[in-house]
Amino acid sequence: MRLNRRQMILSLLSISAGRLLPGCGSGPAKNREGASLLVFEPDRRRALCSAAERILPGAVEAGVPEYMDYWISRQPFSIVSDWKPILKVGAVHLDRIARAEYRRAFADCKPDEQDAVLTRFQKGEVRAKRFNSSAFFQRLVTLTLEGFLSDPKYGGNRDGVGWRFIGRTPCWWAPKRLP
Amino acid sequence: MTSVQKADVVVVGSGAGGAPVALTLSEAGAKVVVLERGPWYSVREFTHDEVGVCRRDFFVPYPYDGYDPKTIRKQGQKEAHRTSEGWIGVCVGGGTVHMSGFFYRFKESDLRLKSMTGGVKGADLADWPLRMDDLLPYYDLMEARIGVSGQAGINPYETRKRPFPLPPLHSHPAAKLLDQAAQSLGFHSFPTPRAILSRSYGNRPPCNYCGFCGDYGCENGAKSSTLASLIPAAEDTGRCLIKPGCMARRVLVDRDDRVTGVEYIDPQGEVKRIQARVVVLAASAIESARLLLLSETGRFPHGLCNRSGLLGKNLTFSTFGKATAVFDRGELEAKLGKAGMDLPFLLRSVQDDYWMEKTPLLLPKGGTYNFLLHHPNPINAAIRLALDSKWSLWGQKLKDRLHKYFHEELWIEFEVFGEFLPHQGCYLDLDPRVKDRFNLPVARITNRHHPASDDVNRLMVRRGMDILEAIRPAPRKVTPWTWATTTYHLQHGTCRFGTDPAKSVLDPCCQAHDIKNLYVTDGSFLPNSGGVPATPTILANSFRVAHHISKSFRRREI
Repeated sequence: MRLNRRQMILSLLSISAGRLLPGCGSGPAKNREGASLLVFEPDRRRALCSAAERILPGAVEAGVPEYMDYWISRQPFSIVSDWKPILKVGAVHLDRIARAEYRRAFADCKPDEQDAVLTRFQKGEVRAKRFNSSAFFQRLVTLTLEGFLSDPKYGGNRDGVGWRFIGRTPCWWAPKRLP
Repeated sequence: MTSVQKADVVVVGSGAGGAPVALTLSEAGAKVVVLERGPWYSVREFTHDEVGVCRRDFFVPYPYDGYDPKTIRKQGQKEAHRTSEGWIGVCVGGGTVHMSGFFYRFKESDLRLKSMTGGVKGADLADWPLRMDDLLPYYDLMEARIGVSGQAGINPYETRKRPFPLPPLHSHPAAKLLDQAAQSLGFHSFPTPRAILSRSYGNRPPCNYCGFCGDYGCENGAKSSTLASLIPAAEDTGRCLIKPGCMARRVLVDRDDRVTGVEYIDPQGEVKRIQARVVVLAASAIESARLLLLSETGRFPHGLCNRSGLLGKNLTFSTFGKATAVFDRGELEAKLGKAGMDLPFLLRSVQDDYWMEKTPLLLPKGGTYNFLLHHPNPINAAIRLALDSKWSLWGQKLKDRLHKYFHEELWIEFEVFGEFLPHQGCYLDLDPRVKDRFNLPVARITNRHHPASDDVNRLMVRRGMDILEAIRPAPRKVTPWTWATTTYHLQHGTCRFGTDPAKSVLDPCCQAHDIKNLYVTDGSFLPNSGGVPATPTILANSFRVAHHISKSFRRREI
């Protein structure tokens, strides 16, 4: 249902055609049997999605998780695939800190609790071996913003919600009144 | 297994340095083959997909294993690390496809930097072995052939005698305010010349004012890349064959030190050779020098054409600076009205600090202030807002800030293009360890700024900020973004030209001193970076060299 509606909206928006990408706009990548290839294990994914939602309210609804799936799993290799390890480890630490402070997984914490945890990452205060918590936070913000404002063909900016929010679309032709 | 093809001329690279040669010589009757490493896009393939085009590997390869990295070490580092810096667009048209197209000419102080300064301690300066009068007709020719728009007679420092072939593009109404601010401080602002069509030109339509010029291909063909202008014209002669996906790996010469052809890797990965009477390298200052270093032979153990020892040396980039002023849209509209407030181009430049006669600084050569609106890329703008806050802006606060930026603010900025002094600390060679996917050593950049270039740049950023601060209605905030940094895709110097073979790699016609009929026409020939982006000068010089080669053919000297 959602797939059909998205395709319809895409054609109505007449967004620049770009290259045809396999599996785009249909949620997480699928394997040959049609089963969903979640890039992260469910717990990690929950933590990252909750973090993205705190970083930019509305991120999940806008398809940021699907956007992240797309770029992290993309073959051939993309620069974002390189970020998979730090995102995975970051998700582990999000849950670890949340459990230590609030005895719950990060995704199950209250919003202000999640914000308190995230603030520690943003400030680089989470010390762990081979893990730079502020770098993790910056990558997460970057992916969230990309996911919110990118061409919907990558799975984010669902139905153009991000472009509607900022009031502009990078369509290939925009009429202007010339003096 | 190699198979032999023949041409009169082989050109390596199809951007600003290669396309004018390919066009001129095929028009003159020569059989020309252009080897271009990258793909051949149709302009209609270009999109405004910010992630796909600007934030991944569309124009420039990833720096990882299995791709085509360069390596770089900066400011005294010992180890070089992998980078994609130093790459210019890898496609037919090269950097002209993704350039913004700010098209200023060089001035006397760019050609006479050594004699006008009397030398600068620690810098290896050299005057051009040409006069401006030798180059001027080729600037005119270049502007007419690709399509450059602007307004002559306003910039008191311009180097031209004739009008632009096209009138200027429409400016955002805030340009008036910039003019007033500049004038109030004694500066002379002028409309920025652009390699963008303001009217139909030939069979190309005019600009549609979408604003996605810099870092994007122009799907309209209105930005005057060589892809949109010169390459189709070269093809139309019926004598120019463009071969995309072909990576030159060696320049071939005979025992008489004469060029015989080029060896390259075709799209299937096979090694092929093409014989030619003339070979012109235009793969960018970094890649052309790399190709010559890779072409070493018994007679040229330090790289082809390197008897001077200067191949790869005197590498220059452009010294970059930028500052931003934040305006309230409502206040601007109250003063200017609503009409034109969505136009993407500000188009104002200032060159009063090009040559600073009375400065106490070591280098009296500044450069150009290019005033413009913030790039329309939404993701980049959003990340910039987060970054400006040191990443402390997130959550609903970030969302509110985004909304405010896009709905209520207008950012006016300037970029400084400044002289980047050549010196021994900045050069190109082959990386001793890292190889690309063809198993060839990659280019290693050793980047170091001469402190005098940076001092001038810092001064210019402060002075540019003075102009922004003088705009009325006043900006909410004026902040510097960067100063004394490097614009890598403006690259020059690795095969500098000159009359003395001991002090240059190329002669005044850009022919290699050491190898007959081998020319280099990209930015490699420039002895210094200049106080403007060198792209138009590379194009003009390429037409000049092509003209010379054409005369040599006619006189049967080749």
